[in-house]
Amino acid sequence: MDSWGIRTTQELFSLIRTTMPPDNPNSLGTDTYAQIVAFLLKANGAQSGSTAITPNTTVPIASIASGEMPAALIASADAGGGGRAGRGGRGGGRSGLTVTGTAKNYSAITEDMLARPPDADWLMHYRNYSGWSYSPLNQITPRNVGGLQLKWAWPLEDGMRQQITPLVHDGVMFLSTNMTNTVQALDARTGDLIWEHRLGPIGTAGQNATRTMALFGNLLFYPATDATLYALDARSGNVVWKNKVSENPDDKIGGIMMAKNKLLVGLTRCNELDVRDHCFIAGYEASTGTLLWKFYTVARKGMPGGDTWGDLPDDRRSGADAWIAGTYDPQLNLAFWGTGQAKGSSRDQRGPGGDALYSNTTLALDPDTGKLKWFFQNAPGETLDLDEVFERVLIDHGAQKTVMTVGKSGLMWKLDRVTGKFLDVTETVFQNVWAAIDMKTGRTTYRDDILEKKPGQAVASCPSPSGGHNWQATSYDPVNDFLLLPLSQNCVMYGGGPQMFYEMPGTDGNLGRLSAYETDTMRPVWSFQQRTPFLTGVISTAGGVGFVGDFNRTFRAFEVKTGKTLWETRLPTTAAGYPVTFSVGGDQFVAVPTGYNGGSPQGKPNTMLRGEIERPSIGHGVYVFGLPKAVGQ
Amino acid sequence: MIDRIRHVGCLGGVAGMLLLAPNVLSAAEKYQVYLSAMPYLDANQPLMSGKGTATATLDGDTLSISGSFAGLSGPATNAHLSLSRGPGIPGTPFADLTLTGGTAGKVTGQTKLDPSQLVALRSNKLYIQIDSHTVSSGHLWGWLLEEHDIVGQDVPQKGPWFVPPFAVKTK
Repeated sequence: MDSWGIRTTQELFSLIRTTMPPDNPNSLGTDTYAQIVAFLLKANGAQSGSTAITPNTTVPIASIASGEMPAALIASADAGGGGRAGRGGRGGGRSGLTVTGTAKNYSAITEDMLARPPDADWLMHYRNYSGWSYSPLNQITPRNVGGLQLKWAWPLEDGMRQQITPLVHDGVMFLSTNMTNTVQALDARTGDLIWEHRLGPIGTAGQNATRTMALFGNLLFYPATDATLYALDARSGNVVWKNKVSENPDDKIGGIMMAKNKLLVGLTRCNELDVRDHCFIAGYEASTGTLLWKFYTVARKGMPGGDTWGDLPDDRRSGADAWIAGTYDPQLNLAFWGTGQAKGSSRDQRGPGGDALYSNTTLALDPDTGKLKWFFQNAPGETLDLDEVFERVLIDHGAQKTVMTVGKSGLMWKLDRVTGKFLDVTETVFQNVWAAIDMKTGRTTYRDDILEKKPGQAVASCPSPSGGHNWQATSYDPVNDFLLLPLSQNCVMYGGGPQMFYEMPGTDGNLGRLSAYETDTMRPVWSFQQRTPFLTGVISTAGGVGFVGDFNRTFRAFEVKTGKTLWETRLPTTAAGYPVTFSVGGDQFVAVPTGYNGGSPQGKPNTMLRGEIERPSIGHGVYVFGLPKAVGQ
Repeated sequence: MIDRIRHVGCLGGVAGMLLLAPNVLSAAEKYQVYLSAMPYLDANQPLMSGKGTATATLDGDTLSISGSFAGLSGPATNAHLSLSRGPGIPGTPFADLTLTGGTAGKVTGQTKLDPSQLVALRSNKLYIQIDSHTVSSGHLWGWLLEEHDIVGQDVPQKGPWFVPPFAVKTK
């Protein structure tokens, strides 16, 4: 309703008729389209009237619909069941610990192991505290990667968004399914299921995706889609403790991470204008689940930064979601998190205000207390749904400790991670939203017409809210000092109703680009582009081989030094999530998840690829590849 | 597949140009254009199709444009040279271009640019817009971007990557 309330039923009718069904718009007949419009209005709280809807009915939507779904419709949807139990799964509606077993020879993970992960393992979202998504394994090289072959695969239930990071320790791989909140442990060498816990609930993920789990001691931490945080015994799958992170039914858990024996948890989707809570990052005692602290990412009246929202009442200050996991520097004892944009997403929705702290900000937090040590706002007063929430990568340049990040607008930032001082920034994709950047302070200034935008008015934005950069994490290769960036290249007319996407100038319709930037100089070393966007994070290895997957079902290995494609294969559906590499018994493997619903980076380009690229709407799973000698099975 | 585009500045006729127009650059400037569909209105989305390329040469204050397009959902009707705030931002037409063909064809034109338009050209603010029977408000558009190296799909390009400059960086 934020964007559609100010528009008319005629516009809604026109949009649906001219875009649906996707493969044959305007094919259903006027009455059918009218019924669809009527249903959508009813589902948003409109009451039936005496006048039939026609293509020419012009009624402001906000004048008849509240945006609240009637209780009867909610109940019928819940009772319907179709598809809500997940497709392609083996659960059959069961719940609880549905497969019992024990992970043998599983050793407890210590703080020291998290600080210096064993070569064979992938213990956390980005593999190391610094957010590198880099493995010291070197068995797979440019010379032999062409021999990679599928060792095993495992289906995950379809439905909702699936963008997971498999975790691997002592030859055990942990997986989760967003649709049913099922957590599984498998033998990482053979793909045999060890245990399975169907935690539930089913189908509550909405637009959220569970991207991260965490490991510590003998515990596996899983953030369920109803904002319940679970600590499972990693060996058996039994619940050790659980804790509801938020009682607000809309809230979801974003990223989670370990830092100095604490489990740090970011809250997301706590962002609508009827705010019942504000987003936060919280610290929990890992062994017990006891809440230790909360840092609220929205500055309220009377608090430091509280004046950056103008006169907006506290209950209208929203957003600054912590939907991506942070990183940690044990020496500085600082955790680094990014936040998303303020909500409403545009300035004209928020009213006259200012920078809206701590939205789109780099935060440096003490993991013991949650105290803010410093902050740098990457996009003050952001207004185009261009998050700066993504991974904060910790890289030392000589004696200088830096933190680097890339946001949706494609700006690549370098900050001093001791002080938060701005050091440098460069544009990695074409952008036309920032008219000026102060290279002394890093302060960005919007184009005039963006600042002057009125409600319902569309403005051009390059990149679109798909990024630039998005949740597909970068990888830092310390051998070459390369930051490997998966980038999207498209633009949008934003803010006037439905977002309309178009090619980014200078890209010749190539929606995806992979680039290596030398972080010392901030300059590109190599780049290649392709028609479809990349929808996995990137990983790199000491073997000199990197891996990335894309929208069009291709999973590829490339030479880190040159970007040359060395090997590729096709998967059943879009590669989505975070690849990992690990070894068992001396043999290196690489695993990649699939998922066909990748949120903005998938959905927005999809409107431009409609009718050109066909993808199955099933096929969630994990695929594990290895060299021929790693027979395993 | 490598589709390397590289336009080399033409030095021919420099002496004559200098005699006639001493205030302009001594070498012709080359620009390249990717024409693509712009679904500016909701209703246009299903109608958007087509692509094209063009090149532009600035000789003195005269800009010459030559390009081709194909795959439109309806015959092309008008073509303009337009001025905008920058790449990717809709602007205002200021000169007509010549069209031949229908759903596929050629676009050509020559126009003199005034000093402010010359500045706009060198700031990547000029673009070609082609209207069609199906989309009268701008079916294809493409900005005149300074010449640059670019390789085809899936081929890594070593070194710099062309990103049209937009933000003014102050120190």
